[in-house]
Amino acid sequence: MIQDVDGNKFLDWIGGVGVLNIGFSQPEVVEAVKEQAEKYFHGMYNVVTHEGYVALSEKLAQIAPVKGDKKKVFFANSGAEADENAVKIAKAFTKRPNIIVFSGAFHGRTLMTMSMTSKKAYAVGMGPFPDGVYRAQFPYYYRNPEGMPQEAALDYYLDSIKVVFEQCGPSDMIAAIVVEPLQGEGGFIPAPIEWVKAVRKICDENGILLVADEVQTGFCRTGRMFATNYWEEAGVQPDILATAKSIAAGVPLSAIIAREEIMEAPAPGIIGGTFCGNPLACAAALKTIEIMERDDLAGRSCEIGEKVSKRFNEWKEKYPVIGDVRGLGGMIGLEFVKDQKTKEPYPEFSSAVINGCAKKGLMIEGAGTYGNVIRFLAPLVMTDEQLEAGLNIYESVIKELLEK
Amino acid sequence: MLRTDLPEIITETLPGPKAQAIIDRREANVFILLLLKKGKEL
Repeated sequence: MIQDVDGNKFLDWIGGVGVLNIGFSQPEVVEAVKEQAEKYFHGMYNVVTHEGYVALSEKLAQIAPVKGDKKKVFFANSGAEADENAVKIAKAFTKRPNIIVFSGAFHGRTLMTMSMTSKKAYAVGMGPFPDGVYRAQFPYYYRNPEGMPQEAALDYYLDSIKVVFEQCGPSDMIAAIVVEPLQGEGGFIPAPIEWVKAVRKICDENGILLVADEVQTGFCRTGRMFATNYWEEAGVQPDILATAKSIAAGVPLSAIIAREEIMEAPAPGIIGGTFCGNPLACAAALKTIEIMERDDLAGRSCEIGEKVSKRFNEWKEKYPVIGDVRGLGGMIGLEFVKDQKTKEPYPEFSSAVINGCAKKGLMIEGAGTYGNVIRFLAPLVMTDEQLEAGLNIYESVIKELLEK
Repeated sequence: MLRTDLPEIITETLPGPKAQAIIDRREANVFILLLLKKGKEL
């Protein structure tokens, strides 16, 4: 909930684009940051190592579901830096130059991650780009190629990875396959678990590392601490996990976690940065994770997700502009279409919904390759009354627009 | 209490006057990445 300078009160279901899973200013996190601020703001982690850096590394090594027993952690300042460093570490470990990313992917706006990001509107005029970034098809089941039966879809998407091996770079030159467990900017598209298992198999057969980009999906957003906890439950783990956003409740921080042999691969000096693992950010993150575990925010994310999905699916039956409802836990997307049969994207309608909701005190945000998806990323600490009020505003706007 | 409050719009227009003043200052001084231009009106 936020109040603007004029006194208007808004439900914020954007949550700093996935940063505020624990709310805007959780009092215990505020206290933890204050306590650290009274000691010192900065030391440079590899010169004046602070206890919080080590404690947070230990904690993340314990909870991140990456492959291997002995894990190590590196901190950076943003999601893009986490993804970029994950790629650097993968290249150093495998001694291979290329990576595979996917259609619809969003990984950031540094030169490397801009190249990894699918939507080229994010990269206009920025070339030349780094070489060795190859793109395969993400399993966007709602938009399978026209006429393709669903039972053929899995093979179609997996074949697109094999096409990369044949036409772009052989498998023994691929360092990593980078996957968002649930694409955010791409349109809130979950990676089907059968596809994840098959990608893991391709990685294992070819000595390729599987990198999970959990920048937006981490820290209870999807109903688990990490979306890759679902992978783990299905018997699959990534080799490297990159995460950020809600890790420190709004203080800039990101992390890369992998087993020791991978993390130790880069030569000295290759990975680093002045502000990485800042003491204020580490203090915030330690307290944030403690609260998430203590208050079972992952469970709350599932509860919220169930309520929202139920309501959204009812809308899908009632309103012909809603084409698809999908997500995991409290990370849910609504895809708007002109016609449920043709699935023609309807970004004008989703934009009008966003504007209409804002006028009634509900802040929501769009996503998707076609700009026709609205994301649900509300803080997981909202009350049931707030959730109900927001859903009522949302539905009233859709109804009003359809009645226009 | 804001943590449990419900939405309430009290200004006649949105943005309200104070918010509009900040937006005007933002327009004049701040780089903002707006990737997606406003879609066609319905």
